[in-house]
Amino acid sequence: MSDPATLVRMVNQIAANVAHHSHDRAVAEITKHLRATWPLSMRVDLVAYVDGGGLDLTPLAAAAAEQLRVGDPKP
Amino acid sequence: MTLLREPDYGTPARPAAVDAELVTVHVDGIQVSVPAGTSVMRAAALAGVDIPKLCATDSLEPFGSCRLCLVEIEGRKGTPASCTTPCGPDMIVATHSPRLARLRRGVTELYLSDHPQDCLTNGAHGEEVEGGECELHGIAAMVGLTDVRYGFAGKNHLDAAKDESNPYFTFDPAACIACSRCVRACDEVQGTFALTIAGRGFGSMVSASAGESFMASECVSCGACVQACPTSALQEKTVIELGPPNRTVLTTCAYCGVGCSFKAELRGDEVVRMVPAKDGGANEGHSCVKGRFAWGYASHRDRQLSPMVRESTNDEWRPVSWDEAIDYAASRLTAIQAEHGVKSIGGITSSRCTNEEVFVVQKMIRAAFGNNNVDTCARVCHAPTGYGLSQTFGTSAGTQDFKSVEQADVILLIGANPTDGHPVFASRMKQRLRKGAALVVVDPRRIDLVRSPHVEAAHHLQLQPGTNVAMVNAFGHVVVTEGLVDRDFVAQRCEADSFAQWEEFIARPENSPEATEQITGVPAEQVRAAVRLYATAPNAAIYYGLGVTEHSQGSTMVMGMANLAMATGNIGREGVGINPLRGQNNVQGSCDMGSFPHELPGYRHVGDDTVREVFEQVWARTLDAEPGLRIPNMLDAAIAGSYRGMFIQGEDIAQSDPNVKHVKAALASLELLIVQDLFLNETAAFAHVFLPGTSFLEKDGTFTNAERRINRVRPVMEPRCGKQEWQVACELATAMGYPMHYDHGSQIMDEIAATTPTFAGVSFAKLDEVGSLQWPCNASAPDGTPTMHVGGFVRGKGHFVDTPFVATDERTSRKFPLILTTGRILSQYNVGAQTRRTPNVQWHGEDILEIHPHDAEERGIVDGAAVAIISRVGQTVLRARIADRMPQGVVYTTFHYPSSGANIVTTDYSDWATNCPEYKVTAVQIAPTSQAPVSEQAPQELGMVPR
Repeated sequence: MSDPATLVRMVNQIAANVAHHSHDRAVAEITKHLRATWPLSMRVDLVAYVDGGGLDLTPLAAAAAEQLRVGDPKP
Repeated sequence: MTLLREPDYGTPARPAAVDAELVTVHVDGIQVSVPAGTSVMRAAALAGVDIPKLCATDSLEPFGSCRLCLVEIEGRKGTPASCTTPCGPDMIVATHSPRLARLRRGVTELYLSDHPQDCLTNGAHGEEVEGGECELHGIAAMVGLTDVRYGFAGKNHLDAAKDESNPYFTFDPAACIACSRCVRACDEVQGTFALTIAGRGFGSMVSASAGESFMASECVSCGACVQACPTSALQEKTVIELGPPNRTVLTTCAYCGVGCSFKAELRGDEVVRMVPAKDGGANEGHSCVKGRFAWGYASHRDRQLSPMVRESTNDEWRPVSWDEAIDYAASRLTAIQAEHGVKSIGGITSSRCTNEEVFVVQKMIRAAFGNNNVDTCARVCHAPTGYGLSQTFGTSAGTQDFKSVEQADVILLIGANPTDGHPVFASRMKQRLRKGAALVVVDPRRIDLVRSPHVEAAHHLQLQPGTNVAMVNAFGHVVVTEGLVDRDFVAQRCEADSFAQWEEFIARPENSPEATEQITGVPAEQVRAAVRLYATAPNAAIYYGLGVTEHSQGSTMVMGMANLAMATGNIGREGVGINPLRGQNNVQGSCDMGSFPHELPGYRHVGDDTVREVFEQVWARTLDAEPGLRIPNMLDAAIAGSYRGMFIQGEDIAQSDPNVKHVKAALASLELLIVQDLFLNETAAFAHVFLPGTSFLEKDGTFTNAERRINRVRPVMEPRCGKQEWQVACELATAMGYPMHYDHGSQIMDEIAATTPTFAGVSFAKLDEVGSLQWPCNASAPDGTPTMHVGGFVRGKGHFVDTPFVATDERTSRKFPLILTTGRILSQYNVGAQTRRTPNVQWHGEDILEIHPHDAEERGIVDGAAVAIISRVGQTVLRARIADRMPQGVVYTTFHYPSSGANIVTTDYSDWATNCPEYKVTAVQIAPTSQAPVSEQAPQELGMVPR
């Protein structure tokens, strides 16, 4: 299980750096980046964090985490 | 190989333009055609005619002082010096005549009359003479001088005191012939201007700085003067101690990313000295204090040569056989996977190891461990380079060769300090600057290149740390809004859509220099002037270092620079480009070899079925399609308990990585840590298995430098620990049930070539034939690719990326009002594991905190005082140096000594895209302290060495 605070910090930072795009494009960019560079275990942990309330995630980061539910292989 | 003597043509080659006229001359009846401007001496040498010389050598401009190279030219009076006389059309030259012989004997006789008769002798012209390498004695033999009519009793310099101050070489004035080769080498090659000829006439004497000892002077110990000296006046101490070498092995330096080619010169099996190779593509005969002299660590008493194991880190190390160590490591790794899953182990490759060693370790992890939990120390340096250049250009590498800088008209140097970090390239850069190229420095610190002898930056944009992206956006804004875009280049070479989007983005008011001035602190007009200089130059090149990458927006900044180069058409030819100055010798190579957890060799994603199939066929193992853990993820997972076993190849993350407290907590959490290294480093304190490694003098493989140049690393001795490092990884994989075997490193390169398109044309045989190759090297580019993106980008059209500035979360506050940046210094390298075990410690015996005079005065800090450096994550104590090269509000230190604890205070903040740590921005407070600097404390007192 990844440290939630670290996950939140990382995904929020990614979101902040693509926030200049339209909402849909930004969400797609974050999701693409997470799938390309994060191991599945961290993506699963992020989704689980959202399920637990997703406190402190920015809206973009939370939306991207939701997208991870679609298409990610089951751990 | 016997002792390799490189030909010396006396004067430098004159580059011939493609359509330049050649001049034909006749030297002693031999016809030779040379580019206009070539000296008679060089033409003669090219014709195979040897003209005696002392003050001339082909790395230096002709000087014409020794009067030995005199010739007779038909139709001209007198006996001109061949070194300073350019060839003329149909010139008829005689190099030997009774008159010339008489003149040369007379001059030589005068030299010899004030020269030690026992000066080490070994002719420059190939004649083997017992004892050494004095060209003067070689010349004496050449001109047939057997006697000195004047005797040796007259006034002379034979009793002059030697300067033994430098740890690596001696200056013996008695053997000096005042030819000025050393002075000119320091000026022309190195660019330090530390030497001069002091005095006049008989009193003329080589002088370091203003009559100081070499050690006390501005000399940077690059060795250029020693190499240029025709006598033994400047001589390596190892040659004096061990005698002259008698054989040569050509190899590659293991320090910075310049990757200099060296001749390892040995006497028997003992290394006598390292001499830079004249035909080395990266360095062309030059060197720095590290590569030239600081190789003694390879035989340091701290070297660990036996495998060792221990059940617990509380136990003493137990030396064991290789078989026992490998069986122990394999069984424990297998047991961890059986209990905690296949992804519970992983490893880190090293940028100090060869391509072959790195390739085999990542193969072991992917195929034998069965996961992609492999990362590399590039994570903490140039990972953003790979990401940024891949996004924009389509490949993860710098665009030029080093020689390209000779064609640059403007050099934009961002976040790099080449005179310390990449000194041999810095010398090349300074040569170009002295010839008229303009320099723009973007750096918070006033680095040496801002103003040094005969070099002065046109602009120094002294920005606030952490504001690079705001600055590069201001550059782009000026380019777009002042009509400086190269529209033809953009139209032909770049994506129309992404350019249009970027053009709209970058033209926004928030990116103007006037707006970003509030962020960067650099006056808008100064930025505008610098941009105009860059954008209007015929050739403008960007060079950058870790001051770009080690930020929370490191990847964004790389993309910003790529945008800038594309918008101004500065890509795809010599003299331009985006040039990362890589930190370690094989950073480029270790990344190329598939060290990142999401990429197989050649930067191809693990999720790409086609690519994975290539490796699955060759490796006969199904590979994981999911990215693995990055180093910081590994550390977090170790603390969380899901990551339990780790193999670390040649890295010291307990010293080099940020927030050391966190790193050590993670390492201490592991069930099994395997460290392969030369020394029991800081990380090894947490290890259960220690596998001894090989120094570069023992390795047999290749390094790839910052210009993508693949160079051979040839062993000068057998591995002192008994095995090549790739053998060890193969045996560990085999013991885990995945057989891996190679008979020779060349077979590993053959496998790399077979699986990685950019390396398809590379083999040891080809490298031995041509010297070096720059990838891509394949059927389309069989001789390699010195300049990338000529005619088109690797990805097709160049891709512009919008790069909004996002401030780092690491902010200054009342409690932490200063910004700490870290870096390195000339004499030391990285965590200092190598250089601290050499006499280089005489230049830098401890890490120092540099602080602006105002910041120091405000805090009551005096020069040399102990100060506490306190950040949000830790604190340490260093000695302070008050330095006006620091801007107010910024402090700086190096991280070469583990006891200094520079990374105790750095934080977990990192680049958003790659997690490269933000070493360059740590909010700190500095305060006087009664504690001694950590360099004076016992490590145990600081809790830095747990056992």
